[in-house]
Amino acid sequence: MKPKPNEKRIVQCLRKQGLSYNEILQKVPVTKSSISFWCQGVELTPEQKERLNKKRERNLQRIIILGPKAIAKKRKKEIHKIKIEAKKEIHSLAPYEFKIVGAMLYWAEGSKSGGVEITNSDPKLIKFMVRWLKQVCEAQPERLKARLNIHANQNDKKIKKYWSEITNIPISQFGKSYIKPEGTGHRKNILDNGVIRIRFGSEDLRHRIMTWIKVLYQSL
Amino acid sequence: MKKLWQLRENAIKLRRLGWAYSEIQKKVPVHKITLSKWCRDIELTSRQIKSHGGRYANRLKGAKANCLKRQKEIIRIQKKAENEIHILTPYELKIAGAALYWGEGNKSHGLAFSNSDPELVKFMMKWFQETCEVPNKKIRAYLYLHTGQNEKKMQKYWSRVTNIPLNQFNKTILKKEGSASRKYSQDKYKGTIKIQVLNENLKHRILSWIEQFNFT
Repeated sequence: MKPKPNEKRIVQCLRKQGLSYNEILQKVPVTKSSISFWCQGVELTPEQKERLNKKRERNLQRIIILGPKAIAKKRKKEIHKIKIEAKKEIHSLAPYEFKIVGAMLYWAEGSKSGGVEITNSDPKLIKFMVRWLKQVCEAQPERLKARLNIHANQNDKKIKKYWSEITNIPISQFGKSYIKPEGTGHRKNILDNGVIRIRFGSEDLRHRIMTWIKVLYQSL
Repeated sequence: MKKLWQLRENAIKLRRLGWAYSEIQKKVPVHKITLSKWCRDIELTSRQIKSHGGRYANRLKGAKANCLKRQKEIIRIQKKAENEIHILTPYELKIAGAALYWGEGNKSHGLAFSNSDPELVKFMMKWFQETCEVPNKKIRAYLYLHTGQNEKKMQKYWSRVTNIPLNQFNKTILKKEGSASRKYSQDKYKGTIKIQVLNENLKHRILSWIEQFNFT
């Protein structure tokens, strides 16, 4: 963390006035742990201590009455409401919008050299991009190739079948999977279905997509 | 075994001395196409070309002509593609940014995204500010750099790109240089930036927009 002498001074000053960490937090944008660290040496007067204790008790009472589960439930309801409201902001994609969304995803996930390649582990995203390649870029389905990155202890056949069903690319168009040798055990989040790379061997198409991205970027 | 970037540095050194790919290949055991990718920007001097005999010079000439022809073709493709897309409307910017977030953004913990492409990062910043109406003070940045890079300089660079003030840059995460199979050149590679937005509700909103994409 960078030293923040100004913030430190302000925080200590506020603490001396008897404010709680949360109250300080509302005035100074630093983390709570920084506040706690800076205020370690600050002594409070008995009156200040009493005020904070009473405040703490009131909060505790609220949690006891409501229960932590109730608070979590309330938040869940809030999130649900946000999601439903947000859905109304986006309508289903028109053909031209479909083109833009795919181009942006290509910017994020696609290869910038060689042919057209998309690498990802999210089945929804891969499904979307295969449809985009076929419908927007007019890629011939029989020219789409797939390749998996999996770990040594995973079942190649089963995972190929899984991705073949998602992408509608026949298993015969899957290349040899890249099998990552067993590592040092540091990596813990091994993906169940590995990573898939979809390839359409057309350098011309890649130049076309990259131009779309350039135009979209420049429109800002 | 040697790291790939070490092989690459060796190959480039030998090419600068005027070696032919077939000769380099004996010392650096990679495919010729890989060699040509690594060394394509190195122009041999006429003396170096001559030392390989007349047929070699002709072959180089032919390759250059092919290259020029292809460059013209690419320009034609790009011109045509430019007419297939137009400037973004506000609504299109909204879905475009959401698509980028689908690709690069954090889906589980907090609202954040990471990338090393300054144009893409600029695009996302614009999207956060214009579409999502995120105030600048709600944004934090983290850099991921290699040990050989100058942290202060890189923070200044990314601060200029993103317009995020330097005091909103949090602790930089360093990685030992050359420990991976790739090694990046100092001037081209500016590290990776993670932009964090302190707004959990917005994350749920964005993820909900992304879900809508699957119903087309």
